[in-house]
Amino acid sequence: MSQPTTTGGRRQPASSPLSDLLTGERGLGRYAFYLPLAFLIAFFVVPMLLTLVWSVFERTNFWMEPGFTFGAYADFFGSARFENFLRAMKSSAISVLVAFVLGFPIAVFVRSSVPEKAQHKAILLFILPFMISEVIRIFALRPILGRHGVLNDALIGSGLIDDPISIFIYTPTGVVIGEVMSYLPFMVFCGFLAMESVPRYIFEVCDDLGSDTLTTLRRVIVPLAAPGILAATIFIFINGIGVFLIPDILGGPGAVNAGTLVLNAISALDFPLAMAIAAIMLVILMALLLIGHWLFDLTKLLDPAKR
Amino acid sequence: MSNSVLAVEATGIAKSYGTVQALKPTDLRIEPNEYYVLLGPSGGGKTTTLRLIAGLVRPTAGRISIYGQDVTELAPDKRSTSMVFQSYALFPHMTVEENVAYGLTLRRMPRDEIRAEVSRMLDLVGLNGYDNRRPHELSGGQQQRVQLARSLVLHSDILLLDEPLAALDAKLRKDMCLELKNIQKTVGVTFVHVTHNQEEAMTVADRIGLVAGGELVEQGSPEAIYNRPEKRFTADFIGENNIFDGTATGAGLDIGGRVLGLPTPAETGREISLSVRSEDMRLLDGEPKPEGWQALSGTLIDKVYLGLIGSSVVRLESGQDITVRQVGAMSSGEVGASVTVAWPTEAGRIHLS
Amino acid sequence: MMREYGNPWAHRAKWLYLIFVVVALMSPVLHTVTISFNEHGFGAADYDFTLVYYFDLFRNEEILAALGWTFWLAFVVVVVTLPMGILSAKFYQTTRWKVPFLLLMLAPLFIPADIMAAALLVYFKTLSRFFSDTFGLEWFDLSMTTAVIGQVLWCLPYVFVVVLVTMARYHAEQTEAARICGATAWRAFWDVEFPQIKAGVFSATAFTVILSFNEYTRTNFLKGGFETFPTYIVSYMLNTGMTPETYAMSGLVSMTSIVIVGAVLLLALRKEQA
Ligand SMILES: Nc1ncnc2c1ncn2[C@@H]1O[C@H](COP(=O)(O)OP(=O)(O)OP(=O)(O)O)[C@@H](O)[C@H]1O
Ligand SMILES: [Mg+2]
Repeated sequence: MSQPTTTGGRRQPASSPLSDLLTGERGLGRYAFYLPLAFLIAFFVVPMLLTLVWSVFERTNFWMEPGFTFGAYADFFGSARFENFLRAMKSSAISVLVAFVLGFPIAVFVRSSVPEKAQHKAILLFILPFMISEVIRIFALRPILGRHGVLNDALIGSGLIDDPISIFIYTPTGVVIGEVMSYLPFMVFCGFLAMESVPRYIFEVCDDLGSDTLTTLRRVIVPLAAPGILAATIFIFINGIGVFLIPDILGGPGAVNAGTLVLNAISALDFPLAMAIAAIMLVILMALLLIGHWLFDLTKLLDPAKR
Repeated sequence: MSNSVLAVEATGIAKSYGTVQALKPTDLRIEPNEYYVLLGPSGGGKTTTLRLIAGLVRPTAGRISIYGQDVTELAPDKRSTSMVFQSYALFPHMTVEENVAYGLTLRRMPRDEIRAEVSRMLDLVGLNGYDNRRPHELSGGQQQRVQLARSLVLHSDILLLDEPLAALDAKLRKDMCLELKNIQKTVGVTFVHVTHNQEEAMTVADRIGLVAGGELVEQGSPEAIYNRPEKRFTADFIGENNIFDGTATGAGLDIGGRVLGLPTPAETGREISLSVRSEDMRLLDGEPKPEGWQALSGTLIDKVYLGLIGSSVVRLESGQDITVRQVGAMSSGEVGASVTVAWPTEAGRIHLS
Repeated sequence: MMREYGNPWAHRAKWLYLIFVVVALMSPVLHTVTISFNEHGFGAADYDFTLVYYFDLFRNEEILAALGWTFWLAFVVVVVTLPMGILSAKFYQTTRWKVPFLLLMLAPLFIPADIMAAALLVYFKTLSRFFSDTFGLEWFDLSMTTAVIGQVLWCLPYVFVVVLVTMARYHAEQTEAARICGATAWRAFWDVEFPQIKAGVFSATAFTVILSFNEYTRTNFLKGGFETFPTYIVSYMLNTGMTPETYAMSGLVSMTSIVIVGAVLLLALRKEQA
């Protein structure tokens, strides 16, 4: 048999030094993978952490200067702002509860009773509203919820009420309605996502054991879906406090939340105050996420390896 | 033939993943046109060795040469190696023809030459007429043939195969083994084949390297590895051997009370092992021990009839289980009976480590 | 699992509820779209179909300019976000710090838009002062660049997740096989991996266009010297309340999204049947 006369170099590289520099395992190309990380650090992690620093800066007429003062925090906690903040928390908590009651059963239903292949499609239905601009969706509620809005017309038309109900909009109730309409799909997604890791036979076993629906829900399904419920809860709660659009468009004259406060502070060129409120929001979010992670491993939700 | 230049020469190659040492520093020398098989238990480091040769992983130490050229720093696409993977490695969005042609297209070979070459290779692996199928329209065995064609068409100096037959059923595996061997003879390329199936290794190999615990334990021809294993591990892993551990004395091997005769004398006081193939052992049915044989008594605890061969398990007084395989007639003893196992002294093999 | 002994009516009622919730969530927008085609506007007893309000939109210079900026912005954001999303999915697959990286990637989703935008605003103002005072440069002045950065932060997590999910179905052996056939790393990616994750990249693109097109809060904070369509609409609505023009504008925004989503879904469905 003839001896191969070739050497390891038989296959001549079909590339130039330049492309090698860019694409080789040891070329510049491999640093490209660090680009997203660098971007997130530069434009997300650093600015978010800096809010803590800026919040203790001294306020000047149009900007701020380095210093160390808790003036902004005193300003926040010592005024009506804090009461407004607490009220926003309360309303946000109500929204979470309503979203859970309305949305979570849907997740359970889809996971337990919809054929496996159609499940993702059913869940996809809830993405549709998300695809439409948030502002538009919220503004679109105005003609629905108003005194002469579609909802009141329908209620009067059906004879359920005689006079239009005016608490649907420009009231705290209006804010809750807006939040539920905006964030309900999150409860469905996250609940479903968590239950995807729950084998379907669990639902059948519960049936066989004859436990009634509510007991099954409370004892078996809710604990299994807990990471998802928690993730959705944190998301809805934080956005309920933070997103100014909803109270701005649907709330009454006094409807204020953290987002509004930040916005007002920036308009008033009080940057340390704005940053203090942002920092407080950040701390609350981190604390909730840490507690959630400590209670249930939230990363399970997205890490397919842990499913 | 005598060769000054080796197909693969690895000196001191090692690979660690964090704290896991997948391969300890190892020397590996493979001759041109050799069919070399890396055999060993799961997690032993076979795949790691193969991927080091292919350039899919970088060694943490050592150097690798292919036909005299140092390739340690070369990316896989710059090396003269090709590879057949266990599964999932065909490009699902390309037809069989496109899969096989892929490497040649990259070399900008003229189209009609590519077509001729591809159909020649599909012929060789017995797949002509399948050109326009997609991988998912093929059986597991056919998919592996396509992979083989895709690798062969490159005319690389070394063909690496990582458990190419693992996904196939026993019958198909046997056929493919013989075919692989034939193809290797036809194309005259160095094959390095990874498997943990002994029979597969024995069928195809010119030489077997036993890899375990990240080390190249022993290598040699299938015949040598089977009949004259040097290491205790080899005797334990290849074939069905009975192994006695003990201390060498002037009279033989002291296994705690009993002294067994050794085929050749061993250094007194040394811890050694003696292995005897199960088919070299016999159950003595009351007859006296022949001259030059060793015998041990025990209890028959299991008897299996496997067609051509009967296999019996005997528990010795020491508690050790001994397997005896005999062609044809089975021992007449019932399970639970006292029996004597015996073997010719020269059938034993001494292992110093 | 259709529970065989379950009550079929209960099952149907649950489906009905599901559909009801989806419709209820969509209804305000659908209502707005309907009204935008009514000659008599909101609250009128009659309904006469007209496109006049839409034609009016396209005669309005400001709106056309805002639309132009919106599409230009969306284009740049797609061009930046897609490669970054693919790179980050690749990074995730190879890094040993999977969980921290995942948390970092998804964190921007959890922070309310206005809080993040405010922090970025102050950050960019600081940077811009620094660059102009020290080097006389105009870097990080509020501009297209700052708006793009804000929107990329918003879109990147979605692209990352979509691409990652598609990549999970890909077998890395194929890249190795391509490398061994002689392909460079990039060539192997384009020839072998990309064709298989194309569908995911395509939906991620559509996703990004929609997200960018609809984004209001971050853009409003970080844009410099131009209006996008959403910022224009909101300032208009806040100033004048709901008028036939605002209905038409809302209708336009909503229908753009609906058309894109519909096209993506149709394509996905057709592919599934093929
Ligand atoms: N990418 C990796 N990261 C960490 N450890 C690895 C990696 N690849 C291999 N190992 C470890 O290295 C050791 C050797 O692995 P290798 O794949 O070479 O074994 P193998 O002999 O091919 O086994 P098998 O027969 O099961 O395929 C194993 O302990 C394995 O866990
Ligand atoms: Mg292996």
